[in-house]
Amino acid sequence: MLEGPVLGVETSCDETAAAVVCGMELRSNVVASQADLHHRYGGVVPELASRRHVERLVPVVDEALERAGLDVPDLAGIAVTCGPGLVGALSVGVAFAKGLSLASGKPLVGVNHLEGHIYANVLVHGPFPVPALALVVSGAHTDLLWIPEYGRYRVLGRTRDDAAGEAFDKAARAMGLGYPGGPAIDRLSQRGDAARVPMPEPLASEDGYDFSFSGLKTAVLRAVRSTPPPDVADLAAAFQHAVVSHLVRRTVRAAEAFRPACLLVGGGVAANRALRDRLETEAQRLGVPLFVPPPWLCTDNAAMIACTGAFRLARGERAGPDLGAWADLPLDGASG
Amino acid sequence: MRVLGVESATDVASVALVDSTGLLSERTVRRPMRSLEWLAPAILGMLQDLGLAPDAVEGVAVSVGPGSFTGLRVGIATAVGWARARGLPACGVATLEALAAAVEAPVVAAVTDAKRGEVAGALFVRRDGVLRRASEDAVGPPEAVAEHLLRAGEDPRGWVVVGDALGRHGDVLGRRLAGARFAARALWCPRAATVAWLGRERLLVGGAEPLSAIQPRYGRTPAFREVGRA
Ligand SMILES: [Zn+2]
Repeated sequence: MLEGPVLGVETSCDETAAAVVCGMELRSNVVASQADLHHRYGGVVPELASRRHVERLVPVVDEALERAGLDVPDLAGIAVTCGPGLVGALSVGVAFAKGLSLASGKPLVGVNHLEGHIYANVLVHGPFPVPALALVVSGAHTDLLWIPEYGRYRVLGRTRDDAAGEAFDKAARAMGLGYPGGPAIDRLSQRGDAARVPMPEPLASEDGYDFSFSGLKTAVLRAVRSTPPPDVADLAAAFQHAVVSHLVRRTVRAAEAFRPACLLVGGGVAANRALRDRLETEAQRLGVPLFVPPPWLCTDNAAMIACTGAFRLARGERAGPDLGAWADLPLDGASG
Repeated sequence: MRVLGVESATDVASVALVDSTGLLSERTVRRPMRSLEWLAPAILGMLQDLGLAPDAVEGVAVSVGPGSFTGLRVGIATAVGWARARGLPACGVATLEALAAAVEAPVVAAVTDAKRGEVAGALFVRRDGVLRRASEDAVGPPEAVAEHLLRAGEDPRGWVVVGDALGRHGDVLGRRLAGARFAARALWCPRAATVAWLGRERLLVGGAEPLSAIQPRYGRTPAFREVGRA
């Protein structure tokens, strides 16, 4: 890990974020959320997200540097998310970071957003033991990853349809709840009884590690339209229980098969209390150390990008001036 | 003052460096694969050609539209990132103004192809050698934009029309602006040299803008629809 301060820039979806990490120490972490902007559309509108990024990026970066008590000449490097995500949104951060890097001569590295979610754990728990099993679960991703050593990844399974967070959003919308759907459902389900609404078990007959959430979303829609409809708190509880059970079952099966030295969880859905509790119980049963970041490091942020970048810069990785942005950026491919 | 100009509002991506002696270098390409990948290496290449280091740039000017939404954001983010790194003065330059500035005529109508059958246009007049804006930017069907220009300047005889909208919409614009003459084809695409030159004039008289105020002028509101989380 690079010892000097690294600036992280993150604009892959609907958060404009910048942060400074120095060694393993978080010096500043600024996130300008756009949730208010996309709320009335019930999901992220790419063009609106890109517009907001270009409006907010300079003030957000200024604030991150100011709170860290330094300026561009003091940096040891710059890290920017270059995928996966919304290409138009990513392009704003990548273009800005390249301008910053080329004019200042500070080294630049492109960071994979998923790897960032995993490295959020390093900021709070320190370097993790390998081989590790990682579950990245958010509004855009549901990936189960095998990490044989630092910087190497193998995708064991991923969602075949909606991401888990996306399923939360869609189910919340069907139930007439707000956006984003995860926190709304998490709150409501505390006073609901999951046992009162039957939910299917996704991919129950399959042995792999893939996920699927569209069947649960359909079950919620069907329940809402049935007469009489179930109590909405019961429905929220049942849906959340089904999503969490599906995530935990697949993860536990992979942990039993691969015997990792630790289990890492990251992404916005990792802020869900029910998921954290269930994983904690299972990890203890399996005797595997579990690392989950605090909720504020689960949702999109630039601290995790700066942290990942510090590792990659320390290994001598550098992005060229032709660095691009990719909607799909496989972790197990030749992404560097 | 040595000023870097960035222009990526249309199908053309362009970067240039100017100083008190005039143009030092310019790189311009039609339809770059993606301006995100092209702009930064082009700036570096230009500096290398001149044997200059990045710290030789003393000011930054960028074309702010109307134009391609993504193109504008990439150009602005690159320019603003560059300026932020060294605390350089920077400013935005209207794309149509830069286009008009390259034409020596008393009245210049600048029109760019805004895609999907639309054009962006504005009218400029030159008095005592100084170019002044005579209309706001308008984006719409060529007929509507021509009307907009006529409202600002009345008689189009003697006007010079310039811009890449003349490629696809030259017939309609020529008919609606009867008596106006088209500028030489070589001047139709926006160029970073003009952006840099206009920006430099502005920066020299204290016209630098706060970096966060340098924003795209989209000129058209798209119909926003929800497409889910990506
Ligand atoms: Zn994320």
